[in-house]
Formats: sequence, C-alpha cells, structure tokens
Amino acid sequence: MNEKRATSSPAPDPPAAEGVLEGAARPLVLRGRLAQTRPRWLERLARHKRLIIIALTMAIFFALVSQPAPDGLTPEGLKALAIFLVCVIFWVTDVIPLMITGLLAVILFPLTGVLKANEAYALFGNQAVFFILGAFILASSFMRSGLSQRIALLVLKRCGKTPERLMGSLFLLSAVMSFWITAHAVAAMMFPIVTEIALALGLKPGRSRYGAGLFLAMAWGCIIGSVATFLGGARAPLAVGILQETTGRTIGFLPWMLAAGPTVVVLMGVGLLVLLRFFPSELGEVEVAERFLSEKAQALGPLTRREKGIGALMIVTIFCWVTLGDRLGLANIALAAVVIAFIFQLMTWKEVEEDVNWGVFLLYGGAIAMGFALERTGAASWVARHTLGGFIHSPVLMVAALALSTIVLTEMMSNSAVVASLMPVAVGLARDIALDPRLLTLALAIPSGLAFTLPLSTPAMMLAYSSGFVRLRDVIKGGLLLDLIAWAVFCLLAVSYWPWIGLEL
Amino acid sequence: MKMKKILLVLSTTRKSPQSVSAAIEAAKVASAQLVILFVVDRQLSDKVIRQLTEEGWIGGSPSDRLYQAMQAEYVAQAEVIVREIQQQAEQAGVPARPLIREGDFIETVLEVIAEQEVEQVILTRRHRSTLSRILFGSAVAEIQRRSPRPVKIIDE
Repeated sequence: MNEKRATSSPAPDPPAAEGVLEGAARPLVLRGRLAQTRPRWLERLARHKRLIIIALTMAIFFALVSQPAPDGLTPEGLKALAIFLVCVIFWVTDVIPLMITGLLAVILFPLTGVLKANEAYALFGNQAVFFILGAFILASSFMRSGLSQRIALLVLKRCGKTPERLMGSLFLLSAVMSFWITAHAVAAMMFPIVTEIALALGLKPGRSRYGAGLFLAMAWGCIIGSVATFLGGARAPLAVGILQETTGRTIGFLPWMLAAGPTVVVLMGVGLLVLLRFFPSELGEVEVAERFLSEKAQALGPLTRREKGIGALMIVTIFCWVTLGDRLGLANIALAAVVIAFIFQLMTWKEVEEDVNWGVFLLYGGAIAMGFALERTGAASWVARHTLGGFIHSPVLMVAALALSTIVLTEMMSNSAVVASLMPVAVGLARDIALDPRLLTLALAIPSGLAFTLPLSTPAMMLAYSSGFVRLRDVIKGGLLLDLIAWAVFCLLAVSYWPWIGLEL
Repeated sequence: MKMKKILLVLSTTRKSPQSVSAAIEAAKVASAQLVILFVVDRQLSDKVIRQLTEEGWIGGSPSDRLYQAMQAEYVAQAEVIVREIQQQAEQAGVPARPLIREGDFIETVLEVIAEQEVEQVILTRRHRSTLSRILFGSAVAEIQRRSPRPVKIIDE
C-alpha cells in the first residue's frame, strides 16, 4: 500500500487513539491528519445557500427596478430585464425547480405592470405548448404499448452480432428513436437494456472501456438524434414558440428537419467513429448478449393490437406533421392523434397522468411570456446591443458565436433553460444586424442539444455517468472532440448548405 | 473469545483496489474478520431521477421504473464486487463477511459501525481537490468526525 496516499484520524477514545488493536500480532498504528473538511462558517453558509441566493437575487431585483432606466431602455424594459435576470439566476443556480421559476416569471410580469395579467396568462395557450403536450402523450402511449422496447430488442438482436456492431447499433438506434420520441424517454427506456447487456457480458464498471462505450453510445445517440426534429426534445418547439410570439415568423416541421438533418447525419457518422476509436472492445464476441436479447424479445410474445394501433397512429401522425404541418398546425395534428388514440382505446388517462410531466408547461409558458415581454418592452434589443451585438456585425460570425456560447452553456446547465434565457436575446440580435430571426433560432436551438461531455449537460449523459461505467476521465477527450466537431459541422453547414434551402446568411 | 472485526466500506461511487488491499492486510495483521460493506447509495439515483424529472421532463411512473432499474443494477454490481473481495480475503487467510445495504451513505456506514461493533473502519476517498472538499463538503470527513471507532482513509 502506498503510505503517502493514506491518511488516518486519531480515534475519539484514548485506548483506540493509540491505534493499537488488542491482541494483534503487530500493532496497527494510525497516524496522520483528519480528512479535509469544511470550516464551520462555510458549513452554515452551505446549509442556507438556497435562501441566501434567493435573498440576494431578490435584493438585486428590487435595486434594479428602483433605479432610473438607462439610456435606450424604457422603465418597463428595465423591469422586464430585472425579471429576466432573476429567472436566469434561478435557472443557473437551480435553487427552485425550473418550472417554478417559469411560474414566477408569469406572476412577476403583471405584478410589475410589464404585461397585463390576461396577456401573460394567455401566453400559456401558445401552440408550441399544446404541441409539446400532444407529443408527450403520444410518446407515453408508444412506450406504454411496449412497441419501443420491442423495436429496440429486435434491432439489437439482429444487428449486434459483434462487439463493434452491438455498440454501433445501440448508438444508431438511440439516435433514430430520438427523432420521433423525446430523447430523455429513449434514454430512460434504453438504460435498463444496456445495463443488462453489460452485466450479461461480465463487463466491470470503471474497468471496461467497452462498457463505458456502450453507455455513451446510448447517451450520444440520444443527444444527436434529439435535434433532428421537434419531437426529440421540447427545446425546439420552445424556441419556435418564442420566435412566433416575438416576431410572428415560424419554422415548420419539415423546414426544421431539412435545416437540422445534415448536421445530424454527419454527427451520427463522426460519433460512431469516435466511439469505436476511444472505446475499443476488449471482448472477442458478444454471444451472451445476443442470447439475452433473444430471450427478452421472445418473452414479449406476438405483436399486440395496441402495439399495432399505436405504431400505425405514430406513422400517420408523423406523415401529417411533415406534409400538412403548415396547413393544419402542428399542435392540432398532435392533439387530434391523442383524441384518436383515446377513441380506439389505445391508452388510458391514468397512464397519461402517470407518464406526462406537467411541469414542462409551466416552464414553457413562463419562458414564452418572458420572451414576449422582453421583445415588447425593447429590453431584448437593448441586451443584444450591449452583448454580442455590440461587437459582432457579421451574420456568419454571429451564428458561430451564438452556437458556441450555447454549446458551452449547455454543458453546464439545463438546455431548456439555455433556450429560455438566450432566445429573447437572439431575437434582439437578429433585429440588430437585420438578420432573418429564424437563422438565429436554429443557431440557438440546434446546438443547445449538442453537449457530449459533462454529466450536467443532458439527462442522457447524467444517466450514462450514473451507470458507474462512465467516468469523466474516460469521456473528456472524446466528448470535447465531439463538442468541437459538432460546432464546426453546424457552422460549415449553416454557411454552405442553408442557402440551398432558402436560409441565406 | 469474540473475533475482532475490521470494516471495509465501499459504495456505488467509492471503490479502490488500494483500500481493499489495505483492509485485507489490516485484518490479517490484527487476526480480525473483514466485514465488507457495500453501500448502494440512494443519493446518486435520486440525483439522476431529479434531473430527468426537472430537465428531461420524465413523468412519475417512468421515473419510478428507471429508479428501480438503477438500484437493481447497483445491487448487481455490488454483489459481484463483494464476492470478488471475499474470495481475495479468504485466499489471504482472512475470514470475510459481505454486507450490501441500500440507503444514505453516511447514515448507513454509521449504523453498520455500531451494529457490527467493529474495531476499525477503512474508507475509500474519491479523488477531489482540497478546494472542492472545503466548498462542497466530504462524506468521508463527516463519517470520520462522527464515527466512534478509528477511521483509516485510503485515497482512490
């Protein structure tokens, strides 16, 4: 044992303090210092951290709103900005749940006179919020029917014949499933499957690089796939909802897929190469995993009526979103599909109540209200002029800078919070340099999902870290490389490909 | 005469070959029984579920199912690890008793120290900077402060 690496404490009672164990062949002497601990004042400060942050933030809020507005900003703009600052601090520090911060924004706007109460609450009725509601209910029915698990098991069983193919199929499957259902739900469904594969293969947590690679294949697949459509994460509908409320412009289901698709395809290729390069297999074959997957798939039995019904409904709904989204409205299609699912008894309300996290509507309603208030009062433009807009005047540089800032922020905080905080500023920046606001919406919402390194970046990464197989030192090189490649690929495609689909920079 | 016991503490996030070797060596020297405690720490699963609920927007029922799957995985991992250490100890001529407990890391360790009446505790400390330990606290330091028996700390 390396003595330099060991520290010991003196025991509390005198005989043990000598460190001699009674009757020992050789006395075990305990030397050294106490493990480093926090000073008492810091302990007290940490215990009350939440209250201190809340009190300081509210003090900053009242100090700001009692000041005269600076040049170029109206008094309402200053109040809107103060509310924005409170929300950003709460989102970053996580002192209250994200959705409650959204609710706080909606309360503060009418109380400070920035918006009328009926205006603020009406923003909860934004189409984006109802589209998310419909998409979440449909995702719940897809998972509950067992169809998602059946697809996962069959694909892995068919394609995962060698260690490399198993990792590759896990990665691509997670990505493709995240095109159509929320990536976090995909990660939550895949996690037990990956765990059982790793255990069946006898992989050791913290020792097997291939084991780490399997969990990262799941997480990185979900991350990349989640930006392809509006369904992979609620960030894209949120960004488009704010865009619509603040500028009247919008981005349809198909135009979004066309804009994000090439980035996703390139990253799926690059991600696979990075996985195979950094997480090589120490196994010769994966026959045990194949047997386990076959048994699991067999246990599911034949396809049920519910699975067939949900499968057909999902295909028709996606087809309608792609072809009729602009004409019929995305939220209308989503909610119509939900009604049809209930008519054909493909789901129950109890399941919806258990599966859908209603907090998302509070956050999104609050974030859309915030974007609207900042834009209406001119505060968004003022912030834009005093941040990136003050020194970047080139549209290309603006897209690159916004995408980079978003990826960096997403590594450290919730990506919904990043979109909610930056989207109003992005709209202001677009106006400042006379750029189509849809471009900056894409430059914010697509990279906001592309963070591959830290556990806080996305719930899928947190889940991969929680497996015990993935450690920061294993991810850091591959993850940062993917962050960088994602940013570069996104910027290159924005400059070279977007003009072809009518998005001129 | 009752055999003395040395407690080796491992958890979902605290495992190190150095502490295993140190614990077996200490038990051998003291002719003591090695109690191998693996704490399946609920805090880790709670933290992940909280993030999935508040940021991933996973509903109550899928969160519960995921929580159960995570805890089951940790218990399965723990069983493999404690079995390996038990074999290692027995090969070195040290009688060993494995224990797997689910719960809060600090409270579970303190409970087992009292329950098993151990002579000494050997804990693994994760690699972290001193500043981080000062700012965010340390569970190992907390156990060391509250333990009625001497605690030896082995860095990862």
